Amino acid sequence: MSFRALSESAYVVGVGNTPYRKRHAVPATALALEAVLSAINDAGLEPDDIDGIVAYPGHVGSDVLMANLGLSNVKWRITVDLGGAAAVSSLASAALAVLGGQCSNVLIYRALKGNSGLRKAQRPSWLPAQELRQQLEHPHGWNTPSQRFSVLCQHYSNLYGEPRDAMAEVALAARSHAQLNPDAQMHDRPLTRSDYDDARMIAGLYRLFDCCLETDGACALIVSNMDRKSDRSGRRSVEILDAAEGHGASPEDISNRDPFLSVGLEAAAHQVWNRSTLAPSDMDAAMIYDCFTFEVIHQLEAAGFCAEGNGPDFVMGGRIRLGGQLPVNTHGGLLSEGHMVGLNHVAEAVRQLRGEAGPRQVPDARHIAVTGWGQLGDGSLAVLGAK
Amino acid sequence: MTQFDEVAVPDLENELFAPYWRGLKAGHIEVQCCTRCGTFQWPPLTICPVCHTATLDWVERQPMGKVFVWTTVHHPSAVGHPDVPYVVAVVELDDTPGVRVVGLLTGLSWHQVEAGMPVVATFPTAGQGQMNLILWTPREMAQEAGT
Repeated sequence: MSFRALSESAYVVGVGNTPYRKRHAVPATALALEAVLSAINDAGLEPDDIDGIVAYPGHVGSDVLMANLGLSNVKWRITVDLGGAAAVSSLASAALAVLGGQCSNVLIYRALKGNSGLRKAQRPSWLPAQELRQQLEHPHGWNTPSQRFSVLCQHYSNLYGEPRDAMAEVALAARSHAQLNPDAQMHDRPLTRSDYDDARMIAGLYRLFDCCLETDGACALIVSNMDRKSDRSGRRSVEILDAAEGHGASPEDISNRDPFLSVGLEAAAHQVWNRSTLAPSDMDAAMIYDCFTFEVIHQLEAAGFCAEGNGPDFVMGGRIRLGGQLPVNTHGGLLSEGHMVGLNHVAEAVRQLRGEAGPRQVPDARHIAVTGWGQLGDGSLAVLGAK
Repeated sequence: MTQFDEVAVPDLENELFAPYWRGLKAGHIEVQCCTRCGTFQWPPLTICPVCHTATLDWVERQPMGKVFVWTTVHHPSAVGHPDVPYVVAVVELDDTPGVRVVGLLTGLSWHQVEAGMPVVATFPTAGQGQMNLILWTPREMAQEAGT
């Protein structure tokens, strides 16, 4: 029997990224290569050590990377198509590949010119059920993520009151964290509450700074069965302790979902916390997929950090800022670091756990949760640990 | 020239959605109903997700409902909808609890929309007469206007 578990643990051994900017002059492929080579170097590996790749639809193709890097040992290549939930789900897939002995070093990457290239509304959509979108939604003028997901925020507001202060706090905390991150698209661009309040309205309760950035850049990481560089240098290694995904009821449609606010992250969190000795209260920080401010509040509830309806109170009082009980998105997140579809959230967790986050370091961070939110409510949750 | 002439026309002959478009053209809302277990299904599917029978009827429903949730589009993005703000509403049908139908909402200012508001649908032409949309109006106002 050769199809058996060959490794006991999976580690994130390398992370790399370009600076995140509104405009990079070079093509997306060059950005991808910069981030990938940086991650390989960070891992203490050579390019030809890469033997698995998890790609993402619509970004630079993995065959393009293989050609440019001259990779000759790739024997496992998949695409995880879960939108913003894909980064964490890719981590799970890569971990299973190394635990199962299919690969030793799996590359995961994101690379796009999301701002200076085609913008979100112009790019081909990878949302499921395009027919349904084009038949029932687009003719009625409902076609962007901000419009689509603002109904969740509206429904929550109808139930619990409009969480305006909490939404503002999510935006302001992310922006303040980005001031400590030179790679962030919004570094040196602080945000005040009056900037937030005065910004133009986009859709429903979402104003400009409730919405994530669109970004030029690339991010990459490597999942391996051992952390050779840490073994040599004494650097802390970062283990993927668990990762799971879940899917919303009626995964192709939000409008008829019941319960309306139910999302896949609930099921993912249920799996992870039930089989772990760790609890949400053991997390030293959390990287929450922040496509929109309310979705941070929504996911803190869905992931079990607080009860439904308590998210707005939870984020207030400095709790989600550096120095607070649960620093959230210490890199600035999609709201202020850049939109790398959540892979940057995983990269930040790794840097925090290694103690390499510089001025934004969470002291002695040992356990960090990372969420993904994608498509029409797919969710994923990973717990990473330092040792 | 009507307000919705420039709205992009989808494939109106699409097997799954053609009955929906035919219904709107005839001035009513039709949704799927399973011929075996009687479950109403929306949006349309190929088989009944409850009993998996492949025979789904399309049945006419009253064009009346209550606003379940909505969004106001302030930043234009959809083809044929340049005039913002406008409101897109998800409306639960009065005679089919659990079935929610997407349409535009008119007849009031966007900040006056409330959950549970009773609305009635009309079906304005769009795409240069090729199709009809769903336009919800608060029932109170529709009554005042004598419609």
